[in-house]
Amino acid sequence: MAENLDPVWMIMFIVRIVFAVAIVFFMSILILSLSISLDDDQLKRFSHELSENILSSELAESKGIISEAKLDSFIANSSNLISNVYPGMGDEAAFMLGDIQFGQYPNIEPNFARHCLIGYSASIRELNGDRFWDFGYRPSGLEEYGLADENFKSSQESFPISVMKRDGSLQQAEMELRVFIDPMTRYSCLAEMAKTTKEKQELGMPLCTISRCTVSIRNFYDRNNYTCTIESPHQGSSDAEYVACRYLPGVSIIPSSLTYLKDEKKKLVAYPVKEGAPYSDIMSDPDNSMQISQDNCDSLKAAWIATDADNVKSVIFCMEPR
Amino acid sequence: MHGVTSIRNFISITILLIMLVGFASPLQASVQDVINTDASLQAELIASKINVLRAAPDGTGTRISLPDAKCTVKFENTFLTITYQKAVSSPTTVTKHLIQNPTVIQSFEEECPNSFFLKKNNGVISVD
Repeated sequence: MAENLDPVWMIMFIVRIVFAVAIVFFMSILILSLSISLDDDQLKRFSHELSENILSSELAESKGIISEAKLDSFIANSSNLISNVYPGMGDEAAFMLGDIQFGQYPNIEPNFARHCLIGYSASIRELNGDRFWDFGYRPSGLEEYGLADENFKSSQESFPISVMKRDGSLQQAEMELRVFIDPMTRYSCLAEMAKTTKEKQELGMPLCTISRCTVSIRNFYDRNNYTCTIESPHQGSSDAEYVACRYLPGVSIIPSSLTYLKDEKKKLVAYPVKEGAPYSDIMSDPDNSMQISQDNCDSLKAAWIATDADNVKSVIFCMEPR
Repeated sequence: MHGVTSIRNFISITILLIMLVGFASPLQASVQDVINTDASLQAELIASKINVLRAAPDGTGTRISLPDAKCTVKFENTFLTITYQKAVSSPTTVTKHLIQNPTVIQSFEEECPNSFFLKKNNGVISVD
């Protein structure tokens, strides 16, 4: 008992207790503050899945071996398709759709490997030769949207492949895939889904980081082969400065210019529209293009939204509160 | 006195270890629960398998195990939808798109938890 009354022993005892309580408290905080979140690196994995599809597609002689003749034919056919739909393309069209004058870079994600939401470009290059083939979606810069960087995701992966030359020899090559999720791929997927499912499709818009964000969506030069965004809602189809275009054949977009303010919570809704639906051309009064777009949305939503029994003629985008 | 101190230390360390072991099990369960009930992640995992199967030659098959949770998975040609029933809130539905290629997927619906075999024959993927 004598030691229990020893002040030094008592102080040390208290110190030990405090120390033990502190450790338990600290551990409790660590355990209780633990939160689990999952991130599955979607784009990187998608690149590998996409490569599987391309390397076993109609371009392949056998798995992993791409045919030079089939590649040439695919690039030529894609370029012809663009030339036929957009004859006499100017520099801007060539920039958006690919420099097809030289049979290269067609902005086409082919039917044998494409994805609604994720856009991609493929670049196949011979390692010991000088031939290369590029095709696919090309995203634009960031500045025109006024959106934060996290809305533009991309990934890049390379895969070793072989190219079978016309004489039957094999040439070592590399296929580089760049995959993207950005506003353009989201909008085009929304339009594609609205047309395919005949149901409205919604996309929560990211917060606008500038005073006012504008989303202007229309087809490329009024043909139903590409879905594009343009820089300014006041530009007509002839002088529009296209920001990004994605190949989406057969989907007619009713041109619209929609806007939302900084920190406003909005969603973009794509509605499938029945044949014969009347709407006003936003370029008939460019200064009021946003009001006309809103009026088009209001009138078409009232009576012209397609259902299962209807043929979908076109898709209209509307901005609505979340 | 050294003996008493040693016993105290031994008891303290034992209690600490018991606490750690006691926490480990619920922690593991909670991690597994998060994985099983994360609709987006589960949809991604299933979509990945089907994307690879779509690129595979005819005759290839794969087994898909749905998570141990209350959910429904619906497959249509270019997308799959997974819906989780929640006890206290409205259901969570996630739609994931599949890579589009000439391979066709027969539409079907499965309830969780479940395991089924998908096979590709003549360019068509169906439940075997």
